[in-house]
Amino acid sequence: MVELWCTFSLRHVLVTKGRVIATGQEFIIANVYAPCDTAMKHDLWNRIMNFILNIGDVNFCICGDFNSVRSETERKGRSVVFRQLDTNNFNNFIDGILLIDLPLCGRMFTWYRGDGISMSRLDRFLLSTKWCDSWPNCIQVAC
Amino acid sequence: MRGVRGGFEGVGGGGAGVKMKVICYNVRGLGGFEKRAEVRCLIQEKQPVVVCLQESKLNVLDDFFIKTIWGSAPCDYCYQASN
Repeated sequence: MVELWCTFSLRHVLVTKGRVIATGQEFIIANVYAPCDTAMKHDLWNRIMNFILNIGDVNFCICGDFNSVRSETERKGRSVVFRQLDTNNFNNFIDGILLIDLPLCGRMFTWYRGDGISMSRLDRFLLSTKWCDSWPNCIQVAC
Repeated sequence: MRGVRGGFEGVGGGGAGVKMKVICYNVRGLGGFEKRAEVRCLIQEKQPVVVCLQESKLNVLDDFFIKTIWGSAPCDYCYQASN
């Protein structure tokens, strides 16, 4: 169905270029596993941002474990340390390169500690406008 | 208690075109038989085009290993060693 022809590894992100064989549509998927540290995360967002700004208008999807939330409501727990700077950096990254964060269906959170109290939305898909044009009616589901 | 991470998928609609379904899952270790069986079931059930896994906790992956989670259908893969 698809073929991959180019991959490269940056710290905390694996980038793959591929093509849908049937239609010839090309795409780039970045698989992210972000660190916990605020400064390291900020550096990661900047590196991904520079990469995207240099490749132009493509079918682009960044997905993975961002270890960040976009608002206070995306994290619940007994002793929640809400890091505003983390959230601001993450939002600036998403808004700065005009990524589309589709509404989440299925569940509100993607990570559960297992105590029934602590949960957060750490995983997501961020899409380029072109991706949403190429494959319309995309939905984001936590399952 | 151990944390659990849910599977996560994005589905591309579009009636006439190809469905671009991507699964993303922080597996927190992919070496164990049970976890691989779980991922294999997820792939069989959801029929994704692309699967992105995080935190495999493995340093080397090969064709044989990939077949244990993807099955016998042809596929490409790439990975970053966990270290």
